[in-house]
Amino acid sequence: MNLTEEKSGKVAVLRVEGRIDALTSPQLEATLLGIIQRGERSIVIDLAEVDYISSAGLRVLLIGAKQMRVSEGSICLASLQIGVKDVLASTGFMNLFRIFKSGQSALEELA
Amino acid sequence: MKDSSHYRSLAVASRVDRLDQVADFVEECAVATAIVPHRLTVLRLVVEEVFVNVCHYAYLDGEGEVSVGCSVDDDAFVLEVSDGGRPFDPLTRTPPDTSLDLLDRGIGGLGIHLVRTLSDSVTYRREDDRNILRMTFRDKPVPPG
Repeated sequence: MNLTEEKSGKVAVLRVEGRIDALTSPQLEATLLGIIQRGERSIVIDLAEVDYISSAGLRVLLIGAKQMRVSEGSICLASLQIGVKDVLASTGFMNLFRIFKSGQSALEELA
Repeated sequence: MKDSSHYRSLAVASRVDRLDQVADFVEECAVATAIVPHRLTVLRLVVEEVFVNVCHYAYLDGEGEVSVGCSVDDDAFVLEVSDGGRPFDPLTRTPPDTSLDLLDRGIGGLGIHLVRTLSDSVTYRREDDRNILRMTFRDKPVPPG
């Protein structure tokens, strides 16, 4: 898994590349919590290059979203591939996040 | 007794760092049977959820052995994951309430929920002091697009 961080206006973008599974999710968790801890209040996780997410990845998204809710910020997801969308839908996670078609449309809306 | 065709199995230590080895093995078996080649991601997800669950919960004193068996039965790809840990039927877990709001949501049970949702059938049995979870996958037409 490759992670790339970027800042665009007030929005922190985290681009993920590769599978989010039990082996890679600790890396995602550390990076995401790092972004939250340095005080970012608007985070977009761009999943354009992710075709696989397991419950280990869902756990990280949930932990991040809960922390952001407490600090009155938000995490949005962008560019969901069909397999990822299916997993989010069948676990009710589509209702927990604001979802954008692309990273670009997320930035246009949030920046 | 294994009377179904194409039976292959792999035994590994119950450690999450064996995940890729296990998932790649099952994928290879599935491709060889040509039954679920377009559902490999789904299959991998089920393998991960079941395997990781065993790694975390089967052996109270840490580590044991997990066996993964693949076969074909009645035109379905059959995946069996077994361990010699304490008796535990993951299917008796209460399904997660996927309608709850963010702050009330827990992560427990999501993995087995995905296993139930994505497999065509899933059954548990206890046999010869082993937990055996059996999942089947049937070939499905590729969705348009």
